Amino acid sequence: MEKVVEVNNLKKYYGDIKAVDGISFDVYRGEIFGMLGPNGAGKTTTIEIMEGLRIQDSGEAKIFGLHNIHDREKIKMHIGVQLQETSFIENLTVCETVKLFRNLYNKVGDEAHLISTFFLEDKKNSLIKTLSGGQKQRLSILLSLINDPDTIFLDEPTTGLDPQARRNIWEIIIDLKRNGKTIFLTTHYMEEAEKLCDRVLIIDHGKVIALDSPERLIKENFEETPVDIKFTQSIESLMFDNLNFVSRTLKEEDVITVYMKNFEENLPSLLNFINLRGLKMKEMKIRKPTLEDVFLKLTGRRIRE
Amino acid sequence: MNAHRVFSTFIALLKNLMRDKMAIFWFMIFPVLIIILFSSIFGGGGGNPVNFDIAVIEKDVPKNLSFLPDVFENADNFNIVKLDLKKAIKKLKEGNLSAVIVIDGETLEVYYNNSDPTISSMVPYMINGIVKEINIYLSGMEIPKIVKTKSIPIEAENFGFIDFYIPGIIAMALMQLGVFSAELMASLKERKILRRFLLTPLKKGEFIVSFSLTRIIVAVGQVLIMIALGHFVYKMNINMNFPLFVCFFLLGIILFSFMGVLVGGISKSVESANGLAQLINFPMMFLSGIFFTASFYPSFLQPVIKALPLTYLGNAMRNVIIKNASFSAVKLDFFVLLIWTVVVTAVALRLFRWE
Repeated sequence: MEKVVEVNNLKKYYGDIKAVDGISFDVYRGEIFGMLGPNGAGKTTTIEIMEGLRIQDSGEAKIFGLHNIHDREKIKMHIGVQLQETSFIENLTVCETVKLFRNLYNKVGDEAHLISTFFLEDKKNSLIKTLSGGQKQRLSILLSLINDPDTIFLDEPTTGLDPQARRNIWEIIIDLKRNGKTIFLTTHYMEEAEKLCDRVLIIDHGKVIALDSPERLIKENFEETPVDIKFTQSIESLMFDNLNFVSRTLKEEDVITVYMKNFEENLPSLLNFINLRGLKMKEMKIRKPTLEDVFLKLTGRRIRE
Repeated sequence: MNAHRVFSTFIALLKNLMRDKMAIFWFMIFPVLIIILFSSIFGGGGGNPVNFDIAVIEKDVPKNLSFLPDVFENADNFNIVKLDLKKAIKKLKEGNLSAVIVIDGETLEVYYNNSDPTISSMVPYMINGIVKEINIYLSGMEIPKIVKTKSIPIEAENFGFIDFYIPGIIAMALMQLGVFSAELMASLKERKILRRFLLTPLKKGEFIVSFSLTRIIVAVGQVLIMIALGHFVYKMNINMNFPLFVCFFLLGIILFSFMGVLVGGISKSVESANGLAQLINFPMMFLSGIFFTASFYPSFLQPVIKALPLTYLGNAMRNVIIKNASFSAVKLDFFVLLIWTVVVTAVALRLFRWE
């Protein structure tokens, strides 16, 4: 497979803060590659180094085999970029903004068609400052496509959006992949990474924690099944730790999560144990493990804190 | 430098500015309001001869002095108001009369408004002059006129208040248009709009040129409005050295626009950019001889006044708009502004951060 992006032992420190601390990965043509991590993990720093907006302290970042800094001008003609929380000139309309970007790339074309594919038709004569977060974000992705790039960098494309707006963006991203684009995105939404990404790079404190497809990450890390239980009274999760079929437990607010081995076999024993202790359950949810569980297992923390 | 990219960016920034109602108010309407306001406060009196309203009360006029009231009536600069003593004194106290002359036998009592410096310095002196003439006439002496005076009015200094005022306001408007670019620059930076542009083929230089062009176009609009107002409404004496005017216009708008770019560039937020711009705007507006001449201020402020670029731009604008001044008359202004422009532009371009 053809490598579009090659990143090798990338480092960027801000004083004592190691924003990016030796990250390596490759991105292949045609995949959706996600970088997942909590806020401050170094996602934006990494993506902006690749875009040529920041200069790394050491290590290598190559896009299409070109050096991220020396060949910055050449690279930017062939990549599309959506910056985190970008805005545009606020008293221009959507249509005028699209035209401006077209002119900057010296491209001619049909604004109306592009605008309608991004569900912005009824907003095309509205000023930027009147757009909602989701509309702005769609415009931002639209503008990243103006130069017909091979590879698109999306920095937290759905942060701050409501679920409906988020699903809209997901559809757009899946369509882009269908049209043969390579997509590099960052996110701190587990669900988004699981849904969209062919491969996920999990980072924390500037370091790579894991890199694989979401399914494999989950499978490799979990043979257990998480069971979320709410009790009528407040109890500690510790009491489940000594059961031989429980690998780990977690208490978050009033929910106790028990990670069970051989779930089908051992569920009766768990219920038995609960009954013997005289505990009453309000709710019990058996679910599939998610990337959230993976992150928790690998770092001991939840991704959103 | 790609003309197509510069033009597209210029049009975008110009539309953005023209749709900003606050900006239009401050840059286009505010200077006009200032002109209208100040001309209604201080204007009018301009080049007209001064006339004083006085009342002459004939309390006891001796026969041989019966001509006295007529003398005052015919004197230049006096309007005689017919009133009785009580009313006259009342009006004088209210400030509606300059003086009251009471003819009481051979004594003329002169009551005058001592609160108005113009009246208190001129009216008693003028009345004394008339009385001296009368005494000479009454003594029957023929004074040989050895020394004669001849008054020759010179038109050159006949500038009205508005002639001085409008060029200064033009300079001030250019300064504000430029310095308040800080807000735009800071917001483009804070909201990452500039970074996004950096990822397109647009070059930094192209952006700066597009931005400067929008300032120049808006400034041309400001100048046209104010000159038209001066010419058609206030009958301003325009005697312009056009090439020099263009030269100072460009120096001014470039200097102050880059001052704005500099402030926007070093500020961390839109609010702090705005605050800093105000901090530059206020002292310049009041200390640069736009509203009050420099001599109005105490001596410890004089070095500050001499350092401010708007002092020189205001002075130069006055000279090239109403006096058709040659280059040698505004040489100092030109070089001071040139140095300011070079330094500010260089520092602004050096310190400006796109993020």
